[in-house]
Amino acid sequence: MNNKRNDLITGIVLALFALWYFYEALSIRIFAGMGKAVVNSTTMPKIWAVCLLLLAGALILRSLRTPAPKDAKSGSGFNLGAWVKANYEVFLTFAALFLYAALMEPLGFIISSILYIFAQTLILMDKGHRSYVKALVIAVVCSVASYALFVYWLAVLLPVGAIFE
Amino acid sequence: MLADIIPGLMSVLTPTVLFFIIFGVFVGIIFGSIPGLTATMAIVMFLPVTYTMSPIEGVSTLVALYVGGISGGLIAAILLNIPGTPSSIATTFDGTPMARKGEAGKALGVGVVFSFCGTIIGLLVLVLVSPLLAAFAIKFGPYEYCTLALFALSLVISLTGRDLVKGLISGLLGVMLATVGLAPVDSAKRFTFGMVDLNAGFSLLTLLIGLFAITEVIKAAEDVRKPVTAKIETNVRIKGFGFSFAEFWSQKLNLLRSSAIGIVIGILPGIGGAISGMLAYTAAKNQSKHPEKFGTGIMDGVVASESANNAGIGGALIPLLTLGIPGDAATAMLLGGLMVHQIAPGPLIFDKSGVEVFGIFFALAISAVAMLIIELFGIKIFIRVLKVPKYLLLPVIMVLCVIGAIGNANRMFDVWSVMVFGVMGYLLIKAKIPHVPMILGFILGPIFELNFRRAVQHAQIDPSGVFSHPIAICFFVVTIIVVIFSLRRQRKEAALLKASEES
Repeated sequence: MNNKRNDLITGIVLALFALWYFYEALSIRIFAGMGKAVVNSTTMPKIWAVCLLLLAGALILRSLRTPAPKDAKSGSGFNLGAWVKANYEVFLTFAALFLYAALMEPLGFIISSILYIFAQTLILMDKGHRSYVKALVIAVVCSVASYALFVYWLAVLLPVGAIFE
Repeated sequence: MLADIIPGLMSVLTPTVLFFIIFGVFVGIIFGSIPGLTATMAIVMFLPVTYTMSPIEGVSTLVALYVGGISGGLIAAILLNIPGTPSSIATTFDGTPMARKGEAGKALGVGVVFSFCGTIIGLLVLVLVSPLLAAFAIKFGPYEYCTLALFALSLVISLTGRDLVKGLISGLLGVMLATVGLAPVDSAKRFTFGMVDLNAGFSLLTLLIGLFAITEVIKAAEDVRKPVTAKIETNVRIKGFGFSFAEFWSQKLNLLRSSAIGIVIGILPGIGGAISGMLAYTAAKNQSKHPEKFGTGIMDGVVASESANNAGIGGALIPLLTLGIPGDAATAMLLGGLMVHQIAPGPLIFDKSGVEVFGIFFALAISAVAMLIIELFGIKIFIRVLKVPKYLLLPVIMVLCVIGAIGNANRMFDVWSVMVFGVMGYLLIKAKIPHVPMILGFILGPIFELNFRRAVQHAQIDPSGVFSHPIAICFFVVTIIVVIFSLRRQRKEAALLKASEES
């Protein structure tokens, strides 16, 4: 993606966010006793939203002014399929992270961490030198060791797992 | 206050605290030396480890991690030609050429020794200045804090790097994220959408993990298919310090000038160590009798960069301890650590937590000594660690970060926040929006709003009172000067950053 289009999309997204944020700020319920105050809980959010809107506007204007790079292919819209293909590992990493968070409560810290470290190590490993055994050993050792360290020695509570309760 | 010095010293001179300091410095150096892992991540990762420690043990560990993390960057800068942390960018300018000439040992020795000297000079200034600043800041009311936060926010402009609009956007997004939850003064619910978990707002820790830890894993995932080209210089021998006393003495002016630059940059919120190393390097070059030799591998360059970035540690702790305003991501994390351990930064810190504050000062001094010894004698270990592939380190680091998120308040909501902030951090990278202004906006926004609203309330009762606050007016005028000055400077600095990245 070239810089011009990048900035344009960023500017539009931020402008929409600012508008939405301003709209939500209008619906904040103010404590009645503060009714006469010049500045209440909606004032600053509204000011921030206006500032962001102005900056987003500046970004959009700037991107429209910069000439399009010559080598840019015209009409090549954003294609989700193509992005996932080119950034396969990024997509997988996000998937692994969200699954990790989702599985933490039902499966508990140890099992979900083993699964996550195993998957993440494989994702980051060089395609040529993938070693399932190495990944599994690290996953099991690190998960169990950190659970033992934090729960028994440092007294930090970690999810045990709903299926074990 | 002075009565707290001895108890402060005694509190760190216990076997446990000394062990944690040595451990912290060691781990910090590892994090600093591996490109992509930073001092911030080291502190994030080990914050949960300190939850159940006593305040002095916990904070000493975090300070040690910070010192190690800043200093460790020089190892990769010299041996890999990749700055291990952004603060050692300028170390590569002369460090790598020295290593290429076969003087890797000398370059490391110089870097380590002057890191130590810089840290100690920064510490001395910290000890001298912070009680004075605290005594001064104790007179601050809403007007003063409001304009001070405004001043700090205005400094964000100077940190934005090459794109002013995007830097400001980042700062604003941080401020807006901080408005989620109960409002200051009247506790109105804002942007909570009926979710109970959102009432308390987002925690700083989750934002930092999302922005700085998750994005590292994602960057590694992006680079999986790229061939690895970095070559490690392994032929390293250090005899003694690696250089003579005459050489050390010849750098005294350079050391003092660079440390002064590092301390000033450290005190000003929002300007990171990357800039301080670079400015010190440029200053050393401009004042040198032989500027043409810079970049060819002379020790002056390494001295300037390393003494400046380490002196910045003491500098950054001054506003953090006495005003509660952190200067960068790592000190923002330290702020989180202080709050976990019930040490409230602010003008009253010497009265309320005097023993702990002097403990922090002594912990910093011991950390500097530990750093000197560990880095000089353990260099072989760190070279080996540099060879450990990232695919083994990052997943485990992520798990530890998740533990930190859970342990923060014992709720899964924080884990989900981390993941969402991670996605946001990735999108921000793609949109080329910097992360650090967001952290400062997140911390300063609420301070500004709270005091702004109080000040307005005061002004409604007594409108003429606005003009009876000379300090506040002073801050306001300085803010305007800073805005104008940094808008002009910003262009020059952007060019400097660009040039250094291209070389």
